[in-house]
Amino acid sequence: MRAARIIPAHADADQATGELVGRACRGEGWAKEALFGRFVRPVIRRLSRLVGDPEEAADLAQDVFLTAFTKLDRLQNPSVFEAWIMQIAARRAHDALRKRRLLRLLGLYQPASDGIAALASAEATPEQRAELALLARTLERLGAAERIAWTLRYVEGEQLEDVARMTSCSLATAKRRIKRAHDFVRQHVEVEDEA
Amino acid sequence: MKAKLPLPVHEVLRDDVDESLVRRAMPATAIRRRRDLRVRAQWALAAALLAAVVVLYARSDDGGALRSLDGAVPTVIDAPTSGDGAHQRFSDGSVVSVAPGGRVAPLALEPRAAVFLLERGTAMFDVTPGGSRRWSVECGLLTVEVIGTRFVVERRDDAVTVRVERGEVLVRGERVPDRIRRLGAGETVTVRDALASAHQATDDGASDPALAQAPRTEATAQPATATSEPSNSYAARAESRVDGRKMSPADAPIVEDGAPDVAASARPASEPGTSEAASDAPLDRGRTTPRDRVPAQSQISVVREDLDAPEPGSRPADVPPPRPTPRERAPVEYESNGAADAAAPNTNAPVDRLARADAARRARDYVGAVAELEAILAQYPPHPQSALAAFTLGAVELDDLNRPERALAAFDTAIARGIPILLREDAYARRVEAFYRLNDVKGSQAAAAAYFARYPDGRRAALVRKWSSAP
Repeated sequence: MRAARIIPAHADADQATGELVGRACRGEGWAKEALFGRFVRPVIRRLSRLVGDPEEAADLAQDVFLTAFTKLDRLQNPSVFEAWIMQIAARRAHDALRKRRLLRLLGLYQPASDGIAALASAEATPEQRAELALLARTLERLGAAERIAWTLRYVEGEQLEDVARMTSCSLATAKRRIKRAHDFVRQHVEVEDEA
Repeated sequence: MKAKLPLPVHEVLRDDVDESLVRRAMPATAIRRRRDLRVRAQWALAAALLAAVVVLYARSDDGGALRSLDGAVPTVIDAPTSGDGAHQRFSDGSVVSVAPGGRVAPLALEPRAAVFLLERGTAMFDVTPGGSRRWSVECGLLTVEVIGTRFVVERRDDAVTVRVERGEVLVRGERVPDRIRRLGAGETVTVRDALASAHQATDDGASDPALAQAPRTEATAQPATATSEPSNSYAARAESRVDGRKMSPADAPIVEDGAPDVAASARPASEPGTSEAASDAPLDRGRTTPRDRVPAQSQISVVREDLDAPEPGSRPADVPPPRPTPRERAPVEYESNGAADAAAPNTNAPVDRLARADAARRARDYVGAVAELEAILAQYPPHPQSALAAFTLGAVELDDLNRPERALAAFDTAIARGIPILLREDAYARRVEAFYRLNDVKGSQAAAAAYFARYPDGRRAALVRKWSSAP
């Protein structure tokens, strides 16, 4: 008889996630499905903004979840599953950008979309769409590590500490990368000043 | 109108995610795709393995028949009598070098076999080891079979000499004792054709009327039967039976090749003086075939056949057959310093001394080998074997006795005395090695310069470069 899918009505979402992770670790497939259903959209969204290509982001998300489910037993604190899987996503995005850079050097890369401009919301003005297109071209010229750091900081709005953790580097390194990328972006794109 | 992008930028980006992307990212789909990828990877691996096997097989065959280095079909290597000779490199890395005046013709260049004919002169075959193709060299009296080695073959009118520089070869031939001999590095075999020697002697005699008359006189002076003169040589008896008649030159190869004898029934039974011994087929051939004009040299070859296959039963019981000496029995003189020859010749001839030196070297008596070689250098300065002895002496001094100074002097001597052209490059290269072993950098560089001046793309260029550049 199949185990009842009863998730305690925890007030804290992290606790619920931790419970799902624990059950997934015990081999309960539905728990993995639940984790996937809960986090697949944030992961795809994050990856789309990092690599600028929703289709590629979906493919990368597959790898992210497969990696996560394979290594789930290594997660010491199940309640930080979301941060952990976002870290995996950032790493996959970094690998994809490096691979793309190599393909571009070999003349084998053709951009599949307009980059981050294709993700513009309906509320964005035409000028902002134009700036987004400019931003997409500018980000393509950045190195993978700087691009990831800048995107996490100024597109996703992550804190510096979180950027450092997700990119597996020190805070100083994260700051330096963000600063260098930001200076470059400001030379080409009109962005508002930081608050 | 807003123009600047807000920070963070996600304020102007949409948050929704297409359901198609979600379905695309589903792990089950990914697992399926991974499984497909795994199957595809397995097929790719199998294909790669198959391709590797095909490539290895093709490489083992060198892509089919042996070709020269530039891909052309090898042709006859004909070295002019002047100059440094000729050489040809092959697709498997092997090299055939022909000394001036020599000629080597490829007979068959198959994926599994390469057969060459040394028509004349001296040639060195440097065969790359490890290939599946079996090399063999036909040189008249001998066939040399080899898998990976370097050896020199010299073909003269009256003899063939094989000297192995590296590796091992099998020497086959009707004139070789037991029909086959294995030769190792440093060993030499010389097979002499007594027929050709005698032929030459006869030709020489023909030019001198007195000498030309001598054997015929000896033959005709004997009674015309072998039975009455058992002490006579077979040559004399044979000549007496054919009555000194000449054979046309075109007949000579038939005799030399040992063609089947004519049937005894064709022999006249009532020939005067003919005994049972007269049934000796070679003698009959001289009498009954249309080619009954036997020249002197062909008579000798008939004698050779007679000696080759004496038939004791064909002689009268009261006439003991003459017991020929080994040299008489052997139609071809066989000289070898190979390991199979237990007793080295005991003369002071250069060839014999070389044989003894090789035997001593094999027995690790390097000092004894040096003594023999130095004796050749001292006693026979102008002899052709002298340079070869000097080269061998250098090799012994350098490789076995670790005396590079003496080796250097020996190699210099070898060059000065006209080392055969096929060993000359090695002599120059080994000079560099000797300097290198002496830690004489300037000397090795000067010797290397001398080497490269003569052999810019020599076989041993890489080693010479290493020896001359090392500190």
